[in-house]
Amino acid sequence: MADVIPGRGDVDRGQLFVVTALVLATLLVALAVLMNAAIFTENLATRSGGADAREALGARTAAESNLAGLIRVSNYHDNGSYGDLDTALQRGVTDYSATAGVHGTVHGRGVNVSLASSTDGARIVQDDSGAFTDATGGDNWTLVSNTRTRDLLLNVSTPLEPPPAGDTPEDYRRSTLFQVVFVDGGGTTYQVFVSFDSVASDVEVRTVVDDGSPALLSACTASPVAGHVQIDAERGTVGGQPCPSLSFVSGLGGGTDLAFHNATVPGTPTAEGTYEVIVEGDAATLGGTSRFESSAADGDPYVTPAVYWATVTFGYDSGEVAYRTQVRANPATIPRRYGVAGGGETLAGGGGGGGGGGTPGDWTPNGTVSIGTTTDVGGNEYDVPVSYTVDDGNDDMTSIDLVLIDPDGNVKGSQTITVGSAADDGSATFQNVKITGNDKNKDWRVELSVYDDDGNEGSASDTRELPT
Amino acid sequence: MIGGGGRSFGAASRGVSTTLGYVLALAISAILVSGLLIAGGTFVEDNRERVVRAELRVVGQQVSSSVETVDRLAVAGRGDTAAAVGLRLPAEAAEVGYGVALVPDGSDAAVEITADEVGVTVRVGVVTDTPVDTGTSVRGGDVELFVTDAGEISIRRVAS
Repeated sequence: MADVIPGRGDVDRGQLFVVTALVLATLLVALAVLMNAAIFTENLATRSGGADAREALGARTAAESNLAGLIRVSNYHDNGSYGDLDTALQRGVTDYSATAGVHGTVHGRGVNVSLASSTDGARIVQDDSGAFTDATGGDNWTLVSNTRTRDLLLNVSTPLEPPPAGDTPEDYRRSTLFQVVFVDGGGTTYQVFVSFDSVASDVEVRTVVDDGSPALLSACTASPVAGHVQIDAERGTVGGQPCPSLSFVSGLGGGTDLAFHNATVPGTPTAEGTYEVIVEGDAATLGGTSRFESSAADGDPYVTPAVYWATVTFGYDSGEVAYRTQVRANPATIPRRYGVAGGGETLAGGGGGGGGGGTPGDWTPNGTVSIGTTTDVGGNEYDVPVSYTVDDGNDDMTSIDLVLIDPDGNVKGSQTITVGSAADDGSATFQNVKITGNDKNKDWRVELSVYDDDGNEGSASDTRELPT
Repeated sequence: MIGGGGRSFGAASRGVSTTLGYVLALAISAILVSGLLIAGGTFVEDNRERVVRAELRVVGQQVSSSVETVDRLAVAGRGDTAAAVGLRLPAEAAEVGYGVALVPDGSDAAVEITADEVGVTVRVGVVTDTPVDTGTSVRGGDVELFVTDAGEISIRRVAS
């Protein structure tokens, strides 16, 4: 190339190219830096965008379900008074907070839970099998009005009335079938009819919904197990199987009425069994009505104080996510662990849903009973000795009932015996039992019922010709 | 060169050719070099803008994601809820500083990232159930999305 500045000779030749080369080199360096930034951008795009809420929401859900479990446990074990319930719940929440805090610390986060408030409720329960009448024998009666209800569970024994021949809402309404009636806050009526199809040997549950124009929902059927079928209204199941006819129950809010209709057709029960339901409201007020007994009663519904639901203040801090809120725990949202049982049938869910989880709920106590050799005490009267053994998986047995029944089915004697919480055995004697005439040398029966702290019940019986 | 009478210009005519050739060569070289430099400069500038835009879009999506995380926490809570989510953003994108703002976008809100120089603005929409405090703006770096006392999602700078 020629000189840029003439006269400088060959030394300065080519500056234009040199300058160009330098500028181009600079551009290339800038381009390399940009490529680096582009690669960094791609790298940035692959990183998770900020903190993840999953851990915080998971801890919140764990607190909710554990609190729900605590409420359920307290309602069964510490239901002497609202004060007892509150103390038990406070203690449980404090323990849970400490445990969750330690667990959180291991994973580099802080978790704290404290009880904010709880809503008083009442547990209505009939835990001895009988007609679904009120305490005075009323067969069309309202359990509660204008309130919230949850966890209605019926354990119905068969046989029941047969379903009507027709298939319209009117056919069901004209029938004398036992029915559970809900009326929601908007005035919509839900009549749940319970019947027994003796041909198919199935219990049938069917709902008539009336929001101005009555409609019959599809039927749900379940085969009885040991003569019983569980109808879990809250979870919408019959005999453990999902029942769309009951799916409305979990959507009921405040202002709900709950009633039982046709519990008997004059004199004869249309259905028998056990049930329980938790309602919002004061237990003493409910227990003071003639509909309920105020304490445990044979074959009649009674009321115990209960926590309807409760609210905790939940705190979480992982450094990246800080979260503090109120959490309301509703036991209706977690699996059942306790419930009424009948006829020795095990009832209760898979357990582990709450209360720290881990303890199964199907520890129904069991036992055996046998009639010994009678002693003639004169005047056709005999002493009838009975021996028994009882056991319970989680060692919380409380008592047993022994009932002596004559060949005609009449009760001739009963005894309630307190037993040890662990496996136990013993004997009892029905004294001066009159065995005469037609009852002599016939089959007499002794029935054993064994109860535990959780409301579970086991039974056994022995039949023998008396006197021996 | 061919002159009249068959006499050539000899050495004297060579300078003309040399000067012309020199000027031509210089002009062509200058045109080529300047074309190269202009093309190269434009190429780098275009790429710079593209890289800044790409990086700001990623930043915008991360801020948007965090806004929605705070929304999830706020929606899951009851009553008096406090939620805050930290987010470590690069202080600069391709050596260019930027600002992050929450702005209204129709009935919803959007995250708007504006670069200080190259004239790049990126907008990423967010869909939330919780109202967003639009109008707040922070510089890039360590930021935090949080729920204000008024129950709105807002953004603030935190000390790194």
